[in-house]
Amino acid sequence: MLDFVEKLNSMGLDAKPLGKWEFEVTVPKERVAEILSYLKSAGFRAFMGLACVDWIDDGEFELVYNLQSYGEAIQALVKTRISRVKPIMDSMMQLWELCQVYEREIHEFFGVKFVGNPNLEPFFLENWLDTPPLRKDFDTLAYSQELFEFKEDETHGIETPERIE
Amino acid sequence: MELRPLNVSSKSKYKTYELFIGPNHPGIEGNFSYVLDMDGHKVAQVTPDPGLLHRGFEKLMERRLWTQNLALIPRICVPEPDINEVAYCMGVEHLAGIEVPKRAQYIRVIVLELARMGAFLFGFGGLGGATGLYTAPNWAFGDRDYILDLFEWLTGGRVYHIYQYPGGVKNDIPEGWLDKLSELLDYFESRLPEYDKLIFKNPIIQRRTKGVGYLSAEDAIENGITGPNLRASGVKWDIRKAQPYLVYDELDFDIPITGDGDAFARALQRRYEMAESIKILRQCIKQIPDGPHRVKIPNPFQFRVPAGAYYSKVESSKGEFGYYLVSNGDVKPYRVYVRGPSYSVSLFYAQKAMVGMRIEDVPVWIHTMDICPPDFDR
Amino acid sequence: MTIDAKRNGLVPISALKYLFKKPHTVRYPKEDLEVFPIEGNSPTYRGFHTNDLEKCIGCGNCAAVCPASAITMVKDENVEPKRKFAKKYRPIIDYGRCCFCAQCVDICPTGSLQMSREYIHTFHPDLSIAVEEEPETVAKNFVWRPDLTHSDNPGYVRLEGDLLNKTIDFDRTDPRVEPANERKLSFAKFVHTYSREEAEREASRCLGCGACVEACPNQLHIPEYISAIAKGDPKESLDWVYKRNPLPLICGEVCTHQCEEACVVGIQGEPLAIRWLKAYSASNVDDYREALNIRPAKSNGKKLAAVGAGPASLSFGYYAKRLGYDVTIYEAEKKPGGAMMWGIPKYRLPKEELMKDINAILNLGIELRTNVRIGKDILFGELLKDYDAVFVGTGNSKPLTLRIEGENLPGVMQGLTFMRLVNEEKAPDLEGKQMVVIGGGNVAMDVARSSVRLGADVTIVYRRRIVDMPADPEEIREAQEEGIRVVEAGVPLKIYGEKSVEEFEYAVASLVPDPKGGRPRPVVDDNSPRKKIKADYVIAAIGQHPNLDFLPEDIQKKIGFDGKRVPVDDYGRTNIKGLFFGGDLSNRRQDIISAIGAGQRAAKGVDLYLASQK
Repeated sequence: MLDFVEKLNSMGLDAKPLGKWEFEVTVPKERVAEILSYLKSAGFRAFMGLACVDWIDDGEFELVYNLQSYGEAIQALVKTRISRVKPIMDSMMQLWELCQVYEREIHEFFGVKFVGNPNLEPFFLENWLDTPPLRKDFDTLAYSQELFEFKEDETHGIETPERIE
Repeated sequence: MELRPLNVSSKSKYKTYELFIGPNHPGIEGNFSYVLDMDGHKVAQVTPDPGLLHRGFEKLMERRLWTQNLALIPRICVPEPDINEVAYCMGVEHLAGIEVPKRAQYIRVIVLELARMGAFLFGFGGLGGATGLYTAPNWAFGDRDYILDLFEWLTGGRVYHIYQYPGGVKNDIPEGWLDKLSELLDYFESRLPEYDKLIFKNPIIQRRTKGVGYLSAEDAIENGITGPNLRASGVKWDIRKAQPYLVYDELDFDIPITGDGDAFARALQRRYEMAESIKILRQCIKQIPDGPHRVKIPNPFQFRVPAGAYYSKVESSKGEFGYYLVSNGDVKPYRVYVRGPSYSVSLFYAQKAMVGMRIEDVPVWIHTMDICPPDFDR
Repeated sequence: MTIDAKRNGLVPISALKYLFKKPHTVRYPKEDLEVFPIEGNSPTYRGFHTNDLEKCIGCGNCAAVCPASAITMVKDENVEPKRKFAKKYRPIIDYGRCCFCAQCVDICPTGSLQMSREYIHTFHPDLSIAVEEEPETVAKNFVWRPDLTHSDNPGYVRLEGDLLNKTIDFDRTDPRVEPANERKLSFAKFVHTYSREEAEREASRCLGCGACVEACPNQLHIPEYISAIAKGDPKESLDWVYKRNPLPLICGEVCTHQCEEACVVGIQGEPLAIRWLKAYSASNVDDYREALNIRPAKSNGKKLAAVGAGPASLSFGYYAKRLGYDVTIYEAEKKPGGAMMWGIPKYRLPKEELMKDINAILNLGIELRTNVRIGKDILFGELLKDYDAVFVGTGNSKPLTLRIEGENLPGVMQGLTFMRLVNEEKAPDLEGKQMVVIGGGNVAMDVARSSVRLGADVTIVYRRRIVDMPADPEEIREAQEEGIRVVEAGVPLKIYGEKSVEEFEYAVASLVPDPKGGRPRPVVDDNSPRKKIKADYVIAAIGQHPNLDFLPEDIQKKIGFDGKRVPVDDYGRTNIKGLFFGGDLSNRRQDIISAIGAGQRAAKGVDLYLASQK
């Protein structure tokens, strides 16, 4: 695993081991396709998933491409950050066709646009007009309290002690 | 999804039409549907339609304490809930640097393997249901209940066990439980040949499954297929062996490979793996050490996981089941991403695999691929 | 290991033999499961809850931990909790939401909430109810308050000995303490403040339920400030403390910490070290005013006077200043602090820590006039005339005397007088001297332990048992560790001596139990054995009363002073308008935090009073 970490570091990237079998590498947005294609040719042929993290305070989305190498038994997490204001990312469909569905899901839940993906139609949700729901600025509690009768009570019925101030 | 009227051609009545498999279909575990554009008996186009089962788990977890989530996540995979708890706890422990005692790790392996057996039995039943062999579901679910009995005794719950906890497991194994487990394994060993006779040697099952839904090793890797399906296509890959977690590296077991890549191979693969699970459990009973079953952690309200991100995974009965946990050092997770093994199969690969298939093979394909909607429609 | 998967059309038929075998199915209720050591479902089953309503303390931790928000706490005045500080809230569970995860059982600090094996709930629907209203009726039937109904059929329970311990780390992190033989050599502070790591570990044991808040005489925001420490932010923590306590470091070192008695974690283990945590956050902020951005409000031109620069007046001054009043504190001594300055020994509260807190308050722009004795230098009447309102927080400064023969001999001293000498470093040479300390309160402990540090051989004589002593248990324990002997049931009789004290005689009283369950009463009669011990000094630390001699008698009478206490209301108001009292002279607990509370409430009282005067 350390070979890969070194190799990636020598390519000017920030790579470090994460656990016993995993390493992570942080890649600028423009180099994602290049690095993924390199990793694929280096044995990371299985695409395990694509996660998105909303770093609202940094104004960025983080995309985490998860690859597995069956030959080397190493997992690679390729991370990249994109702007939250205008979230656009290249589709990785030319490398793994199945990125299509992962990207479609992230488009739906975070509003990230993937250039080159032919189908970014609504997937899981129906008639959703609100903020993409997995973004940090979407408040599920407020949403459900508006929609349903249920009211969540932080105090659980206990009165705060009386204080003379 | 809007319904199109049946396209009635002048030559042959009902030549092309739209067919819904699901969302309420006994052949699918959970409310999920495929919309099939049919051309006579053959599938022309497949459109997966998820969403009916979407409960927003990933978002809900961000609003709950790290340990509160343990009551929520088993619901992501109904037939095999424990993989969620273990994968999640392993991720939390990695981030928090908690060392889990040996005994707890053995208990986790026991729980995981029992759950795997339960899930395989579920699968046998499903295959029987898809092929019209209704004795199989009756047997399989009946036998699965014996596993649930043991779970009920160990954890207090039958299906959702809520038994794992960061740092170990909640309770130690009750007295006499391991003996009961041993008896159950004896029983299963005597039952497996019966399942062979009923299902795997059955000419009808073989006719219905052999050659159906062929998946090459190359395609399996390219389409992100994992677990028994991958092994049935001839790729020798099992996380338990290749990247061992818990105490799997102390246990002696094989990775069976069927390799034919068709539906029968996938069903048979699970049958083989069931025998391996029994083998693993027998070793666990013998090897489980004495000692604490957990280490103590701060109470739920103050349990802060140091900032960081980690992807923890387990080999489930369906393939790689992973949790990508992101913490910003608070009492609640910042983000949890769940990687369900059925995701790529059912949402992506199905669109290619089912095209050209006959309608009666579709449920067989779904069942041998072990598609479990809750783990992608989470 | 491969199986023979050869096709065989005949073998599936062999399954027919199962037609004649016993089925899997259990014909409930005629038959029941037989897999478990007991009949029915498993012995650890997570079914409906049971709750021992008397044991339950209503802390609400179950409701807070419930991932499904199924638990609501509802007050019931009829429940009679066994424990002191228990609230009257009891959990009500909505079984439409409950997912039977048992997290509430795991967290319950008393272990009163358990689960039974019962899982069947039926009810008879009222057929007269309209169909449309049926869902509501059904919903109501799924919400109930668990009591001991199913407790004869226990399921997922936590046994004694593995109660809160189940999954939670609740071992207390004690601060580092100097060993007894080292600490008794000097007046250096012997309890070290927590390191960051220790503090965070200790703070992370807090459940955040707030049971402590009601035990605290001034209802500090305890869960909030502990949680801030656990987060690693001592500044935010101090900010919470400062809202109701402007003397955080002093209280952190010497508070009577009744909160720790109420702490729910203490029910099954050691309570949180709330006091040391406060000391940690206060000592980790160098400049309170700068760090917390404390600014006085714009002056409203009203002038207030406070008499005595003890905790009550300082607290009064601080909160009044923040309301915009100009405050002048009059102090008869040369330094502020009152009993904190002259009464508390340095090994418990170093003077620099004391002055750190006091200076933070005074720097806010409060005028302190030392060496001014009211009644002598300035008449009390003038104060009342010159200021819009006057607060008196002079505390207890008139010590009680022994009233036995020989108490006027040189070598007999009052506890506070002695402590003052110690704090002024003018104490007599006690090296190798025999010392008798009479009393069982914190002052007696301070006297005894200070004397040990000065080289004396100390015996404490107390008229009841050690367990009945009003002093903090840890003070007593630490005193004993330092080699101080304690004589129980000793009633002083006489002090012998020619020029100075030579011998001390006491009677061993018989203790008559109090029928009401209070402390036993010491009874001395002619048969009681009498004992004599050698003594060079006898120090009486048996309590003190307020000294209000500086007040004109008519005022004393008017405010209802009975020699022990001045009656006041919640806001420190007396019968005289514009005259406020607070601190030891008007409350029963007589500790620093009560005085701080009295000062804060009096500031509010003054504000209300002056607003009504307009």
